[in-house]
Amino acid sequence: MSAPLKGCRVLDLGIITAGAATSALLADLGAEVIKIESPSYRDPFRDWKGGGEAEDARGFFRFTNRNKTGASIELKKPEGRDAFMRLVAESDIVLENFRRGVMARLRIDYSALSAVRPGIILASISSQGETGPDTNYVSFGTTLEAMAGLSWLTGYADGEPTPTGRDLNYADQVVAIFAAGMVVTAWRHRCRTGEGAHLDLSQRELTSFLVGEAFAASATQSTRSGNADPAFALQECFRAADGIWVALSVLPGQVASLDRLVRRKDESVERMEAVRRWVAVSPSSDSVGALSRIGVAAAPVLDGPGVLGAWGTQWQAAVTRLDDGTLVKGFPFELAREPLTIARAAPRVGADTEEVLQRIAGYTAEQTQALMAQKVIEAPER
Amino acid sequence: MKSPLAGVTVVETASDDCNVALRLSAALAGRIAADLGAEVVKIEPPEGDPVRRMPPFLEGASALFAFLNAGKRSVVPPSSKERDALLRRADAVIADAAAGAALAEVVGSALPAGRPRAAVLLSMLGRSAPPDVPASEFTVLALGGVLNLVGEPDRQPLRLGGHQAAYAAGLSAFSGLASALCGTAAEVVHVSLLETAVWLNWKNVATAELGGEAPSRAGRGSDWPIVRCADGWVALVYRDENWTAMRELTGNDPRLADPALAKLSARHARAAEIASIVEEHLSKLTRAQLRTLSLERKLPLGPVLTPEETLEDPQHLAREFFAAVRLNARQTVSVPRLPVLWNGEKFFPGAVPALGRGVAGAAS
Repeated sequence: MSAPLKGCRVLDLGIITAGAATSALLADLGAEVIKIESPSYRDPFRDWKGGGEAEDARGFFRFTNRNKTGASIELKKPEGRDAFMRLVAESDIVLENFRRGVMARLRIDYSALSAVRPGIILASISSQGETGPDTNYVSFGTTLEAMAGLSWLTGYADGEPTPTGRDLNYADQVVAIFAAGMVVTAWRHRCRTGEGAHLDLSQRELTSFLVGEAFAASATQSTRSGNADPAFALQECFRAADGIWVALSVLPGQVASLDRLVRRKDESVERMEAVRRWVAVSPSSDSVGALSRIGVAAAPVLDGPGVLGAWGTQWQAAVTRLDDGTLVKGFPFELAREPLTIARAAPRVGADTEEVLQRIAGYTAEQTQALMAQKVIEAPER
Repeated sequence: MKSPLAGVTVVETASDDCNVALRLSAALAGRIAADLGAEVVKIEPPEGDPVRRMPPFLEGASALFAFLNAGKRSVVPPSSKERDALLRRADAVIADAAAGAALAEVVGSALPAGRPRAAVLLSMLGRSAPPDVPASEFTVLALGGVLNLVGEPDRQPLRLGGHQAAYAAGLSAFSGLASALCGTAAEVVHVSLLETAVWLNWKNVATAELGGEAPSRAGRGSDWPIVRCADGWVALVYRDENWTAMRELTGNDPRLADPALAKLSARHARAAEIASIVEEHLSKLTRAQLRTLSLERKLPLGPVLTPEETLEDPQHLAREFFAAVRLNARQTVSVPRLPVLWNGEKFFPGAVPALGRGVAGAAS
């Protein structure tokens, strides 16, 4: 019995969310994940706002990059590229989400990697894909939602196409789950056949895939409908007396019970209006409770603090705490027999460079110290 | 490698009163497995999976069912004995947690000859939540903090279009399934829509812990709003380094030359004002022109495409993203392929299964 990716070594060139979160999930599944940064380029997430102890391990970065070791190698220098390639020769997976062209410029693209490590798996996560007229189109999450059709389908019935926003950044979050699953699939294939793979993962394509039913030619439902959904007689948010919105979804078979609950006696009052008035006069917990008791799906619309406050009572795996109490990203699924685990906090820049180069790539201590002196590699300032 | 999951048999099954959202999640996971070459068998009741009767429809047939189930076989077992025999032969079973309890003998046990088996069990709220709480994709988004983030500040929070809560969990189910198939022993994968939703919304949970201001709906005041252009809408996405290029896009409108706006924090605070000014100028530009300008100037603007326009988009055509999948004897329907290339090869969806007859149009 062992973790799904036990024995697998990943060189993680991933940055910010899409790449780094994918690799973190691979680490959770048992892979050894070495985050590779460089003296001239560090994961930009280290600088994004959010408190934290070390200057270079701030909130969001620390939240995402737990479970990895860290090496800092200057890939633009020949000695640095050599060091990286010696690691590649002893690794199974390389993962990256750079702008297209960077891997080729550094001469570490798939053909270069598979020359030193036949059977290497390269997972390339990009906004638009490795090929096509938009391959160089600079894109962030909101860009992709707009181009993928998701924004068109999101919005008030009387309103405009709507983004999910930077605070959710949906396109980056979902790709991490899918990309991890594809890397795991490629790993399993490699274990069985010895064959590697270059995976070309397009975030734009994934986002369109996630509205896949909307593309049926001449399908009539390609329009915005606010919170309504044809499967429900009523689906909407209503503001309660305590200012909290209550989200509810009423199935067709539940309308009679609902009408009784909200005291809607006849057609003279629209159902939505009757519910609005009924929710408005009590605290949200009262209406949520009453609706649940008659079998209607209902919940308060929580903000971040509200979600965090429900840890352990509503959910518990998606976010977790390290032994020292630090809150970090958890898991989107759980395994019963070989649970996903987190062994360590996020690394400081280059924290493990010398150890990794000595243990895996066969460098001596003298050699790594020389690389340090030449600024080909770096370690954290003491 | 066209079929990395060739030789793997996946069976989808659901309890009679399974929440429709869980059917969607399970089906998405199964669709991905089918695209990757697994034999995916969908157990349906005699009247068919309820998703067959869900919109959007194309000539009376459900395009939702078609998208989710392309490439699978459909079986209506004549007895529970036959159903159990199917389940016992599967390398992986995808089911709602309630069905899983009934499959206890199958779930978590190895196949004969010691082959590992994966059981993926889906629930709406997960194992922490009080049992039997009614839920929907909408209430999951509410509890996960996602609903709070979308829409206008003074109006109802907005859900994401389509079935994102269910589909994101479907991705979790697929990745859990793939992980379990790597193992050497039987494994049970637990997936809940709520846990996936909270995982996606990690940033706002982190902000709550780190003590930052809790983000909420900003509507027009958001950093990256959607604004009108000559022939539709465009997402105004840009970073600090793009500010000069954005001003040039407006012909260097003097209102944007305000030195105060040189600071990122000032632009954040005055986002609605900036959006209005930029929108005035973008009213003269089409999305095609904005796409060209974006490519030339490395701007991340996002032309808003309708699903119909997406079908014809040059990027998708170049990468053969959409396939025509057989819906029935007369009709095909456009369905996205799996969003990954494997050594440059694509995984195209198979035909849509007719009820209980395996592949559409095939003899039983």
